[in-house]
Amino acid sequence: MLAKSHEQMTNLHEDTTYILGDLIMEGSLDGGNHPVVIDGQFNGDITAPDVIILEQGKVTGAINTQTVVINGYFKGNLVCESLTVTSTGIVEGEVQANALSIDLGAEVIGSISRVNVKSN
Amino acid sequence: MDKLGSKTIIGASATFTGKIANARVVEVHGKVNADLIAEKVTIGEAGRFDGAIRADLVVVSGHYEGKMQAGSVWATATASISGKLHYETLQMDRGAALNCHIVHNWRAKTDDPEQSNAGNSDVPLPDASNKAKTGTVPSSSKKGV
Repeated sequence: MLAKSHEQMTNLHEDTTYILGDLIMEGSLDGGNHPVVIDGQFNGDITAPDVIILEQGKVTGAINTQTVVINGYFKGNLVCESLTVTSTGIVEGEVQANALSIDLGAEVIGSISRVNVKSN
Repeated sequence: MDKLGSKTIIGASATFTGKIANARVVEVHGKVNADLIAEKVTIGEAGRFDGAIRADLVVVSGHYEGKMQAGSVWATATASISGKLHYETLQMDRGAALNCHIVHNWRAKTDDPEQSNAGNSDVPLPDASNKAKTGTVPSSSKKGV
C-alpha cells in the first residue's frame, strides 16, 4: 500500500487530487473515481476511493472512503473499508473500519468500531 | 516529496466546494467552487472554476466564471470565461470564448484619483442634462404663454 502511495506521489497524475504545500482548504471535496493525496491542511469532508494523508498533511472533518493511509494527522469521523496508520500517523476521533493496520509508534485516540463498508 | 513542491491539483473527476487559502500553484482539472488567492492558477480543458481568483498568472483552458484579477491571463483555444476580468496582460488564442466584463487594470492607475473623478463626472452628467431639460421646458412654456 505504501509502495503504491509513493508511486502515486511521485508521478503527478491529472486525475488524482493533490493538496500540497502550505495551503489551507476548507469545504467539501469529492475525489470522484480517483484518489486524494493530502500534504497540506484540509478542514471539511472528503469522499474518494482512496485517501492518503502524507506526513505534513493535516485533516479535520469527515472522511468517507475505501482505503485510507494516514502518515500525518487526522481528527474527526472516519468511515472506510481499510485503514492504515503508519508510525508517523496520528488519528483522533471516531473510526469505523473493516480492516485495520496500525504501525508501531502511531497514535490512535478515540473509538474504533468494525463495520463492513460496502464498495460503491 | 520535494518533487511535488507546493502544487495543488484538483483531479479530473474531483469536485471541491469551499475556501482555499495560502495557495501557490493550483491546477484545476475538475470542478471547483471557491475563492482563491494564488501565484499561478491553471484551469485545464475539462476544468471548471466558479468563484473569485486573484493571481499573478492564470492560464485558462476550461471554463471560468467569476471575478478574476490577474497579472497575466492566457486564454487558450478551449477557454470559456464569463464574469469579470481584470488583467494587466492578456493573451487570447483563436477559439477562446470571452463573455465577460474586461478591465485593463494597471495597478498604478487604480490608486490614481483620476479614476474616481472620472467616475464622479459620469454621475452628475445625466443630472445636469435633466436639470437643463427641466429648465428649458418651463422657459419655453413661459415663452409660449
